Amino acid sequence: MLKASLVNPFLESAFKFLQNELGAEVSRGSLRLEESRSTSGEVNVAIGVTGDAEGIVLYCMSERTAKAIAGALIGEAIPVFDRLAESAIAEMGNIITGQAAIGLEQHGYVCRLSPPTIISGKGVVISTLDIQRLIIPLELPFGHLDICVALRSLEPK
Amino acid sequence: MAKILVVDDAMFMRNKTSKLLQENGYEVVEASNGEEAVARYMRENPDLVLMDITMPVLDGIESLKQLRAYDPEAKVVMVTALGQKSMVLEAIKAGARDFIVKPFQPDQLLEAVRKQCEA
Repeated sequence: MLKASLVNPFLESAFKFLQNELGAEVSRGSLRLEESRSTSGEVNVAIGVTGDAEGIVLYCMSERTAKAIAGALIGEAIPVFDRLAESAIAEMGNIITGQAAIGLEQHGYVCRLSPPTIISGKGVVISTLDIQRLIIPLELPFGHLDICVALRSLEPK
Repeated sequence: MAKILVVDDAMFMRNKTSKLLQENGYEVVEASNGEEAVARYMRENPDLVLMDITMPVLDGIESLKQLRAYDPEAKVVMVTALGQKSMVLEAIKAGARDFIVKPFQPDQLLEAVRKQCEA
């Protein structure tokens, strides 16, 4: 079972980023646990976590939502989900995860992050192997965003 | 006009940072990973480096160490999403002059750049 101390930092950093950087009203749906293998969104940012907590964090959304978020970050409409838009979405994942890592450290988990990877396509199945993932569903004016936290921890220092 | 080397693997961040600096009168050169940053530094001899940490090929901390080994006077400010205390200490120990956590406010970045360019 995922500990609250591993999940709450992601909730806090996501709300802070989305509200402050995008000026977005954010609401959260019910948290749910999913098995390690499940279908993702059309656009997914994956960031690996190593250290006192290890696993992966995914930011999953439709392409339409990704274009809308990227457009808000870049400051112009995004008709095609191109490299710049990909980069903006990846950076969103990077910053939310980076801010969450500050919170994780305050709970005793010192972590390193991998550079973000974008996985795109319809019906993509992503497996986090033997680590269950906790889904944080967020509703934004731009659409729906799922943050999937698949982490397991060593004992905090 | 001071020359700034902006190092970030995210094109979005490079564009955003470079635009801000150019609008404020700085000359900007870019690199997309730590290895490219070292090569670019040797070629361009910038006044200041703004360095991300999490990057492919060579990360920002290793790149910082290589830059400081090549030029002990190299001025490097880390600009990263990784704001953990342990990371800040590691960067400062490796010779970073300052540490800015993303997302940053434009004024915050400009103030740090101004301070280092005048030092």
